[in-house]
Amino acid sequence: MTTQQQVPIDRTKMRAAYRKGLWGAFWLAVLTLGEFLVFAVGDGTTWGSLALIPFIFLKAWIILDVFMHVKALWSPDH
Amino acid sequence: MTTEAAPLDTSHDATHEEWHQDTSFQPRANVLGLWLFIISEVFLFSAFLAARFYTTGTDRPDDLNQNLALAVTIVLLISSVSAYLAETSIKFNNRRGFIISLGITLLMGMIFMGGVTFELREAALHFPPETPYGSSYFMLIGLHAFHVVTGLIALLIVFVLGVRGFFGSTNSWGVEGAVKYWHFVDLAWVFIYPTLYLL
Repeated sequence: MTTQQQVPIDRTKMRAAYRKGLWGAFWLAVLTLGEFLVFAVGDGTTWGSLALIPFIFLKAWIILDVFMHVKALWSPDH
Repeated sequence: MTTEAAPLDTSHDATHEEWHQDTSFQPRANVLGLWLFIISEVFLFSAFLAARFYTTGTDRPDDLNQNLALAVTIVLLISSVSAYLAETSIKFNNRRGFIISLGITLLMGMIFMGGVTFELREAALHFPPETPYGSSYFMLIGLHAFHVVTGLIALLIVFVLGVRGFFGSTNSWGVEGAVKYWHFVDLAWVFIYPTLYLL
């Protein structure tokens, strides 16, 4: 582990990466609120419970794909 | 009769030495090792999630604090976003962005822990660990809280090293590893929250 030398920042790529993260955050917020609304409307019903499942897996996929870069595992240039 | 000693075959030793000096595989090995660890954690959490449904089905007490649970969920999601921004910042040598984002992540993680601690005190009154739902609740929340604390310790170490000038675009594995672990903590909560509060 060494102290890093200053390297010029590629601002275009950096902004694109930030945008990707904020886009993921937006969808996580939408899905979390949607999940809560579905729970509030359908609490105690079978359809209410089943309707929550897509929200859970979509949120999980956003975290895996956008934040954890899971696709990089099978990407040849990684 | 004299025997001439056969010349030593050093080619194997040389190859072995080169293999040890070649560290090009190391970053890939680090990533693979971390993912294998995360997969093992998925199995652990899955067992606990299954235990909740096995012991109590989809029954849950009415005394759950839904508003607080939603609030801590949002706090943890914000911490995951800021952790992503911290990782991205250091990969582009944006040290200021890295420090600020990681600081926000630590703060959000501590707020989450505060919320969970408050929640546990309430839960102990309404459904103590001796009850079927209480046992699942305290096991899952406790297991997750333990991961949050270890994640916070890892992030704090990364934060202190970052403030002291370590890490950069060519040396960001320490940040990446800790942040990925933090995302996993968030991922686990995405399943724990509906399992305990919504389903």
